[in-house]
This record gives sequence, structure tokens and C-alpha cells, in this order.
Amino acid sequence: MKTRMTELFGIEHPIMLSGMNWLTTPKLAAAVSNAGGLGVLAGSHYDKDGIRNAIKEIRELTDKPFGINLTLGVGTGELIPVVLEEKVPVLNYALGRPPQIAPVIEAVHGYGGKVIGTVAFVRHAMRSEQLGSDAVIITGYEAASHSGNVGALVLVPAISSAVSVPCIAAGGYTDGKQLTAALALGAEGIAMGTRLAATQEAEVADTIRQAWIDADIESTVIDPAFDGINCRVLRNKAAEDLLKSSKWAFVDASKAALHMKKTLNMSWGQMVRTAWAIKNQESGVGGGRRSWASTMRFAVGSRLFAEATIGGDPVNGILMCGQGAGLVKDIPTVAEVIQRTIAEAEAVMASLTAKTKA
Amino acid sequence: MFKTRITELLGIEYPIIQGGMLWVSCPELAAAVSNAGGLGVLTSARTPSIEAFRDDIRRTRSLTDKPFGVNLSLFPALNALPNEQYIDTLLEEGVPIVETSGNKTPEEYLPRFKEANVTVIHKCAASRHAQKAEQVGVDAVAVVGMENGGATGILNVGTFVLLPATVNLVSIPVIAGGGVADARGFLAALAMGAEGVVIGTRFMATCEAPTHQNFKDWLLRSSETDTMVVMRSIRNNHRVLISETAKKLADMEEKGATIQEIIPIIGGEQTAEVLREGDLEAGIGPAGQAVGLIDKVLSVQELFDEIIGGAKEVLAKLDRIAAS
Repeated sequence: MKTRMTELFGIEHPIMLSGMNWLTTPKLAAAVSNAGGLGVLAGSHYDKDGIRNAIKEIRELTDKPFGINLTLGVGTGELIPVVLEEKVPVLNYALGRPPQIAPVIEAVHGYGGKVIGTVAFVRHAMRSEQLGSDAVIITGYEAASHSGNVGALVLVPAISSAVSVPCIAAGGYTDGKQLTAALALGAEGIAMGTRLAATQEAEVADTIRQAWIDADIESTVIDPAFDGINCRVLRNKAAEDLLKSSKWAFVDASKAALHMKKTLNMSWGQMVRTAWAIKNQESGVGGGRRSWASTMRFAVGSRLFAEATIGGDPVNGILMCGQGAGLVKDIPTVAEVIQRTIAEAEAVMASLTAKTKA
Repeated sequence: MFKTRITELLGIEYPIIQGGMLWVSCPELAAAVSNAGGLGVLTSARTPSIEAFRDDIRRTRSLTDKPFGVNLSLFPALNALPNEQYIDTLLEEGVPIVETSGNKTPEEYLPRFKEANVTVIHKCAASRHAQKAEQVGVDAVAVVGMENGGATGILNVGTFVLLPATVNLVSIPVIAGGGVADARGFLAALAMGAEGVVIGTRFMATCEAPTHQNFKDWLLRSSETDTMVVMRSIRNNHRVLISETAKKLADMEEKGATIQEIIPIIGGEQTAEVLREGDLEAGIGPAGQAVGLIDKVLSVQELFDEIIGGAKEVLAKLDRIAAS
């Protein structure tokens, strides 16, 4: 299935893997690329040796195009040179301010790579295009993690008519019906997060896979309580606790910040610089600058996300989860997901045509 | 063209339904929609009297010989609506289609509708409410996602996920609403398994809508991020355009205002002032996120031409992709 998205990246199908910290692994990203989509590895939680090794591992597993997703301006500065040195085919950035974004885009274009900006607002999409992005990912309200308040049905046409680069719709996409809908709305393809994470190739605990299968479309909640900006997660015990505990945000957050410092082996100076960087970036998907409480929440959130995704604890950890999890009912292989999505989309397109000729 | 289970069920040309909107769904608008090949819908609630309601039906009939419907609100109301009397009247007048809306199903009224051969569409905001409506025997369900203007449910699920989930759950035809305003949304909904769409906000910005020019202008200049949800405190979430009044209301609710304290803002007369008199801060102004997709006032016929013509272009794009 050819669209401007497949042409741009040199892939077979207009489907990419959403970059999800801890959930996307080299094996999962390579599986998506091998199945004809665009595999993406979220790299922000790696250190620079870790990301270099991860990129090498992807290259050992696939010779197809793949991407690295980086959140800019949150202490990921040392990862950028590695990604550029490795000449990753596609860089997908999120957040960041123009002075951080522009040089990265220029450098990637310098070696012939492509850049995708992740956005949730029309004005951010237009800015991303102006800065030189080759495509944008439109994150609708239904998506896991950070988004604005506008649903895909409105946001996708609003953004795709405001920019001329190809748009990739993200947030809640699980099947070929939705792929066709996204194409009808003006997108050139979709990004799948939860659907491609709930596969055999994903390296997550069975408890987490089961949590996705058990979720229905009403099982998630979006709130700034989890990491300081509006973030959609599975509504579990940990989420309920955080929603209730806003009074203690500062205490919770301070504890988490210390935990982060220890886990990441940061010096005090590094920790303060990182916190300062987080605080001062424009929180691209949410708009505006972070307050200190919000910065602290980012730290708490990071700890709890790791607990769910690495620790395999879907009760006491926070699991980022989109509304589309309610449409996920099985754990197939990545190739099965992609093949059946394309086959279903082709069938839906044929039936739409038939309806209009009747 | 555009034959679906909904066009067959309702006997209309295009599967486009104009949602029942308080103060807006007047005979002129409903008749224009039906004349253009869709289904126009009148509202019963807030008509000044049963006789006025009967006059609305008769006036609509004088303006169109195509099918049209009447909306019955099943939402909890401070002053109970005379729904039994509305039903007596619409049955006497031979209205062929009824759209009920609310969390409650229209179960108690169904025997009368069935006996009179009235087709019943139930509009709700949750897949399980749609399932319940199917179980009690309605002919079709309309589900609206959180993008929807006015009453939008308390579950906050986007149409993009709510619709496929509902299609998986029920076997009667599903109509999608919440965020549909043009050809792209129309085809996207059909792609996800809807047999039709219900459009509200877009019709408020048509020539035939009795909304004040000030309100129409407000719709045109608003973007998709210019709405907010109020009335959460009384679990009757409404999506409205952001205004000083709406912000003040949200603030009062946050501070624990009682329903008596907020009634002077959310009352129907105040909403009518906003919609019909153009006094934009007199109350709240309902609108969905699709307001961001509206940039000019069109006649209903022009809007249909745009949606149907645009849908053909979108289909041509999909055909090219499918063939590649």
C-alpha cells in the first residue's frame, strides 16, 4: 500500500511503531521494519553507550529503514551526537524548542536522513514543518502518554490541511478500519503504539500484556498528576493513588527525584541541570512551561513508568496506555498485526466504494 | 449513491443526520436537511407548548415531503419534560422517525413506537448504553464521542475509539457523531463501520439555522482548541465554546457551587440568549470540537454538496492507495 509516507521512508506499508520509552526494544523495532512498517525505538531513557548498542542491535536484526525517537530538552543532549554519528535513517523528535530542534534537523538532513516531529497542536505542526521536518505525527486525545484535548477525528483534518508535509496519525489506532479512516481524514499513514506493543515480539511481562487485553475503552485516564503534563495512563491502583495524592506532590516528587538521581547515577549538578532543563522547555504537547511541582511530577512519573514496564507490575506501576487498548484483544506477531491491518484496510476501501456505487 | 443500512432504514438519500439541538433544530433547518437528502430532526424539549410543538411538526411537513424525525430528550431535567404528550402529538401527526437521547434507553416508550411503526434511533455516549438500547429493541444507535458539542457524556472517549468499539458490540446500524463536520469525517466514520453520521455543530453555521449572526461568527473564528467541558459537577458534561461565562462556571463548579447556584448560568433561557439573540456572554454556547473545521456559513444544500462532492474526492484518493 503506497502513500506519501511509504515513499518518504522507503517502506512497504504506511504503518510505524510509536516510540515508547522502555516498551520499544531493538527486537520490536526491527520486527516492525522487517514486516514492512517503520520500526522506531524510543531512546531517551538510554545512556550514550546504551543507545549506540541499541542502534547496532537493530541493524543486526534488519536491513530495512528504522527510526529513533528522542524527547528533546530533557537531558537527552548527549544522545543526539550518537544518533547522528550512527546516521539513523529516521529521527523522530518530541518536545524541544526551536533552537534545539533546528540544528538536529539540519544534521540529519546532512547525511540524508529524515525527520518526523511529534505534535498535538496545529501551531506546533506548522512550526515543525517550518523548521524542516519531513513529516509530522499527529497525537490525538485518545493516545497513550502526552496529548492535547482534541480528538483524532477533528485534529487529523485540522493539522493535515494546515501543513503540506505528510501527516502520520497516532493515538488509538489498532486496525485497518482506523487506518482507512486516518487516510480519509488526510493522513498518509498511522503510528501504532499499544497495538504493536501487545505482540509476541515485545519484551514485556505477561502481566502487562494481560493488562492491555483486559482494558476496555474506558479504562484509561488523562491527567497532569502522573508526570506533570496531561498524560494518559491505565487507570489502576497506582494511578488512583496519584490522582488522590496531589497534596503531597512535592514530597512524593522529591523522593522520586532522589531515586532518579541514584538510578541514573547522576551528580547533584547533573540532577539540577536536568531538572532545570525539564522545567524550562516548552512542554510542546501540553503548551506552556512547567511549574516546579510539574517538574517534580515528571520525576515521579518516570520512576513509576519504569516500575510498570520494566518491573512488570500493572497494579503498582504507572502504565501509559491509550484508549485503543480497549480494542486490543489478542497477542499476535508483529507481522500478523501489520498484514491484517493492511488486508482489512483494503477490504474497507472496497466496501466504501461499493456503498457509493449502489 | 451512498447506500447504507441507515439510508435504507430511514428512506433517505445520504446517511447524514442533523442532530437534535435545543433552540436550533427548527422546522426550516430540519426541512432543509431532509430536502437535501439527509434526515432533519426537530427537538421537542423547550418548545413553549404542546401546540407549538405540533405547529413545528406541521410546518416542517409543509416545507418538505421527505422523511424527518423528532428528538425526545431522556436526560434528567429539573422540570420533567412532558414526553408522553410529545409522543401523543408526534404519533397523531404521523412523524415516522424518533431520535431519543440520554443515558437511559427509551424502553418505556418503545411499545407505542413499535405499534405506530415509528423508527427509533437512540443517541448515547457509551458503547454499553448502545448495547443496552439494542437489547431493548431500538432500530439504530447513534454514539457520540467526547468531541461532541452540548451533552457529551462523562466517559471522555474519542469517537475514533468509541465508534469501532460500539460497532464490535452491536449488530444494529451504528451512526457516529462527535467531531464530524465535513467529507473527511463523514468517510472516516463510514470506514470505521458507521452506517451514517450525526452532525450538529456544522449545521449551526448554516444559513437556515436560527442561530444569531454573532453566534455564527463566533463559530467561524473558533478553532478546535476553543471549546471546554462544563457541568461536570452535576455529571451532565456539556462541551461549550470557551467564554468568560463558561470559565466562570467551571471555576464555580471547582469551588463546589450547588446546582441552584449554577442554574442562572446553565439555564435554557440563558443558552437561548446566546444562540438566538447573539448575547454571547449571557450563558453557555454549546459547540463541538469540529468547530475548528468550519470556516464559512453555507446553505444546507451547499453543505451537502460539499460533503458529498468532497467524499467522492476522498474516495478517489483511497482507491488510488488501494490500487497501489
